[in-house]
Amino acid sequence: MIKVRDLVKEFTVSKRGSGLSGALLGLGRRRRETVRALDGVSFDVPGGDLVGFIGPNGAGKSTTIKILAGIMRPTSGEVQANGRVPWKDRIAHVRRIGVVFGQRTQLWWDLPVRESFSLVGAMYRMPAVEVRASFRELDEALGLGPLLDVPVRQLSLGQRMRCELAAALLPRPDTLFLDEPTIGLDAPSKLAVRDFVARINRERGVTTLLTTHDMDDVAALARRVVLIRSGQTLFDGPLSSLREVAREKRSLVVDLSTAASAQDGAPPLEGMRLDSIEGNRVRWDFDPRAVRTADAIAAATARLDIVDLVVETEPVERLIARVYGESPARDGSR
Amino acid sequence: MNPYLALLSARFRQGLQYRAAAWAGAATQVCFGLFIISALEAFAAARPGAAGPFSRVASYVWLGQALFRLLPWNPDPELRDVVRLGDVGLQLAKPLDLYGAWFAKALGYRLSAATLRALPCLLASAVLLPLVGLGGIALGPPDSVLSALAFAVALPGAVLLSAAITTLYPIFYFRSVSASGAMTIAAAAASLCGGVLAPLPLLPPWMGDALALTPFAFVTDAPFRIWTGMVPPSDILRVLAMQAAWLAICVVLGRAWLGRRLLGVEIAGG
Repeated sequence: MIKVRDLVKEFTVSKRGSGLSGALLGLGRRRRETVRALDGVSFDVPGGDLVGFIGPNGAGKSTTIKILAGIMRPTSGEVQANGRVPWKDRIAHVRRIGVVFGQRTQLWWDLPVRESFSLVGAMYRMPAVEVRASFRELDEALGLGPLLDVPVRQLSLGQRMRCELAAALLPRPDTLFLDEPTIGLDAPSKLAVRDFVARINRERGVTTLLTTHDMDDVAALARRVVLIRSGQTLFDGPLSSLREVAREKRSLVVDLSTAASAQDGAPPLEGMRLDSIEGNRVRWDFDPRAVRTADAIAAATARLDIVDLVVETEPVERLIARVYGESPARDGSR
Repeated sequence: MNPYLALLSARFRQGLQYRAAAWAGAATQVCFGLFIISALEAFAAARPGAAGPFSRVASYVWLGQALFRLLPWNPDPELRDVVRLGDVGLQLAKPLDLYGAWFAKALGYRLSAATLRALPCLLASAVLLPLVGLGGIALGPPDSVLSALAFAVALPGAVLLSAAITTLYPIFYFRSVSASGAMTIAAAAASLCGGVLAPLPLLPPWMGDALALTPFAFVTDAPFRIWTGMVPPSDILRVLAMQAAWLAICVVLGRAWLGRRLLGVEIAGG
């Protein structure tokens, strides 16, 4: 159980002007500015939950994770993680958590993977029997056997991430913090990481907090998302209600028998809006709460000679981008 | 295994893999030893008996070359990156005392670096040189049984002190993005004060005696003086006590400093 209340974190950054004059002036007095990375973030994560933590770059996701992991102390606010305040009781707290930062490694770069695992065992003062038992389980899920004697620096990113996850879970933590665990991974590795995270959450009941920019991660894993922007909680709930909140759009795309029959592309029903006509392909947008999808299809098929028909749901990426308040780049195909 | 011992041993094993560098380093050290000794021999010819018999000076120089990498002239490169690149965050996420972990790693680093160079260097200076008829400038045995016993205490003390000084360095990195300026000064100070550039007993007394009080001198100078008998038996306890005092000071300072810095740690970026 993790409880976060009104978390505020301020950083001081020194600024200086650009160019030579800026560099010279910077040698003397630097302008110091306070930046609020977190501006009152609150949420709860019940034990055993898997929560996706999303938000644009610089929103404060990593800062929150670092505070929860006991690495950083907040400027103000409260955190209770399994009854402890992470930064006050760091060693006792981190003994029960696992942390993976996708952009950093906790493995020993020049030593074979095996050594990193035995070091983790030693750092958590685990008896050798327990290390072996926990490792066997992880090995079964992640297929680590062939990697054990390879120096970490020679692993591919996907292999390394599997090892990172294993290292974080070897001491059987109650809570797992994953900061962008799929960053830079190819599709099969992403799927492997996702499957593993879901499985460990289910089988070991590990409370998991995951930050990511990959919305497929969120869609595949998280029963609940917490969306933060500019250091504030913007949304907290299941992904399906985020769709509602964001006024999800749906599109009806039809291919007509001839380009001529597309005509002016007049919408088949009231409440639908023409998006584009490309040759014999016409696309209409509609709000699924105002227009029933079945009605839209019926009206279109009744009026037009349709060869093919597709109903598209707005991709999560696009939906989130709208919530972030940025206009998503048009890629022309839609 | 105790977590700190495990870290020490892992860092030691990691350091041992630089075999090519070790051989090259050992060869350099042997050449340097011969070079310094021939220069000092020329001085000794001009001022006979300045620091006792020349064989003592030769032994001092050889010990200095063999244990050159014990000198805390640089931070453990790994610890430097840990602070600069922000991996300190990952270390804080482990259930370890950060100072203890750093100290253990610095110890492993110094031990591996020193061991790799010491063995070939000792072999060359103590065995090879007498074989080719240069016994006069070879590394001789300890001056007495007492010297040998005291050296057996002073050397581990030197290793610990070296690690304690090394552990102070990365703390500078919390203060500035690049501490290379500070480290250049530290490296120069260490080589001078540790008697590696020139044996402290051969410097003018006002300078040599002052430098012999610095912490660096208790890493590479004091143990060699003990070995060669340059420290009179009545003075041995005082020297060992001062070494222990420097060790305590460096550890207490490092712990306090790191503890204070950690309160304000800021780890930026994803």
